[in-house]
Amino acid sequence: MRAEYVIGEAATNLRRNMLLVLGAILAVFVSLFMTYMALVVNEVGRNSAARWQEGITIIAWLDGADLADHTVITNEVGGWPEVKRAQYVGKAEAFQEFQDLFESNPALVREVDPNAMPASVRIELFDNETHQTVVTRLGGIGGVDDVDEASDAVEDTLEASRVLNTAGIVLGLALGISAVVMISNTVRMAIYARREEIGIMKLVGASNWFVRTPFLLEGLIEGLIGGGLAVLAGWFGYRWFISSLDLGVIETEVADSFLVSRGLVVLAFGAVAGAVGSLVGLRRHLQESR
Amino acid sequence: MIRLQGVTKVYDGSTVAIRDATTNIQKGEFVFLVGPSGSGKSTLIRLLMREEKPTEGELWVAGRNIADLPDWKVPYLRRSVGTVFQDFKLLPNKTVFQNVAFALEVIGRPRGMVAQQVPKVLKLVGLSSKSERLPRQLSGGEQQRVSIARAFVNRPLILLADEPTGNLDPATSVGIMRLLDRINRTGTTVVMATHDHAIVDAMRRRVMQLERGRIVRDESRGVYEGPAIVREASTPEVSPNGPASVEPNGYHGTEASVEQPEEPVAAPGDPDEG
Repeated sequence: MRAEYVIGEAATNLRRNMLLVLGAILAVFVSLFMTYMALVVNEVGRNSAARWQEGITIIAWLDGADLADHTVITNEVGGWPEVKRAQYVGKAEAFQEFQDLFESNPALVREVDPNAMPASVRIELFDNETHQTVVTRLGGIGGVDDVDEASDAVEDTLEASRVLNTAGIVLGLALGISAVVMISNTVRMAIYARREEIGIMKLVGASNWFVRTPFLLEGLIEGLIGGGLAVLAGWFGYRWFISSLDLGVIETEVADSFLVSRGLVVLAFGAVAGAVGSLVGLRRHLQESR
Repeated sequence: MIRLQGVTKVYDGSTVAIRDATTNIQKGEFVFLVGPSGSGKSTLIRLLMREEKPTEGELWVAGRNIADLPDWKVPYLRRSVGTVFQDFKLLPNKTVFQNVAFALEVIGRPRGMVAQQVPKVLKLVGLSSKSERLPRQLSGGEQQRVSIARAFVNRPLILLADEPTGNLDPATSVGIMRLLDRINRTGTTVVMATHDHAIVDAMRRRVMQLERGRIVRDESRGVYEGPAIVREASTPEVSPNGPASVEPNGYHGTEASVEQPEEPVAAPGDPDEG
């Protein structure tokens, strides 16, 4: 009877203030959508950086498939005084890496022949000042097909994704506060609409929590719906827009498991925003006496 | 049951609504609070139901000093104090039965108890046949009966009534007073603030007169105008339905002479239906 009552009352509140409720849900939606997208953009940046991590600034892509030839080249490059470390990445490993990066796009992975993946030598330097020398020298080695370097463009893009990420989180936070305010307003309106009933409930001795719970549930539902919409919109927005962008060196694929786990975090934030919002809205109206 | 010890209530630091009130009300007493508008009657009622906190003094209600009562305990105090108001405070979209049942439901009483107690108390107030009506389909007197039923359904120790007949014509008021009297006879302490001279004079119960926040008279079996404080022009406040001198029909006689109060006595001119 208790749960039945609470749910019934919350449903009535939501129905009575439809427009305000929609506003609150929209506020939660926008703020959490921003946050979710910021998380995705951050992940995109992190993924693209994966190849260039741990100080590796140059990748020499190798011709052919002869392991012996490749070993010779790797050893030679590894022997140069400027080179701190030369790491050989074979065809199998390259395919593995490709699979990891495109985990969420199995169709693409299926179509790629593991043998078509080029082997490479990943080079870490003692001093990045010697960058140009090493790149030039690599170009002169037989068996090196192409040389990629962590160009300014890569650095710039990574930097941009960091800035975007921060901006997204700051914006998401600001909008999150507005979502809390919106929810507290709808709860306040719901309380106002039912002030007579609440007055009588308090008159006959309903406990404070008995009065509060339906409103708390109302805020929670608003937060969860807004958060759920944000996750859905973020997911489809990502699939239809970002993942189809061609940004060259920037890897735009993000694993489904990442989208799901961060989606749950976003949903939890929606719930918290809803609960906090309704508590704020409840505070003033349920004060007892002066 | 109720004990005031030097109770003072000051609003906004300057307006004194109750000034150093000290008194004692025993279990089962029936007390009228009388006095002009602004004399502090309603404030006293609000203090007793802990709608307000006294600024100073001790205020014992049903065994607790409610001056110190933390807010979260107020609901439990309210369960032993029933309240009735001039404006009935019924929920317009609930039936008579639901309005009364509401009082039990919101304090978590089991459904079986609600189903058992509500018809009982509706019978007590004489509204058994109208339990499925909405408040707007009832006369003012009937609505006040519903609100009394709601206040009493939980068997409170104390019933507080703030001008319960203020919106009713004299004949209907008589029926309400009979009902409050019956409730009082079950052992419930009744404290009623009123302007209605006729009722007070007819009932001859304890009368406590307030004047600018002070208790200036307190006598058992008293009347509205105390002998010591009779001033010609000092009682401009008259019951809203007409001159206070209107004789409540037959009230000076025995209870048997009061005609069925269940009827909407003054339906055509009833001020509540306008």
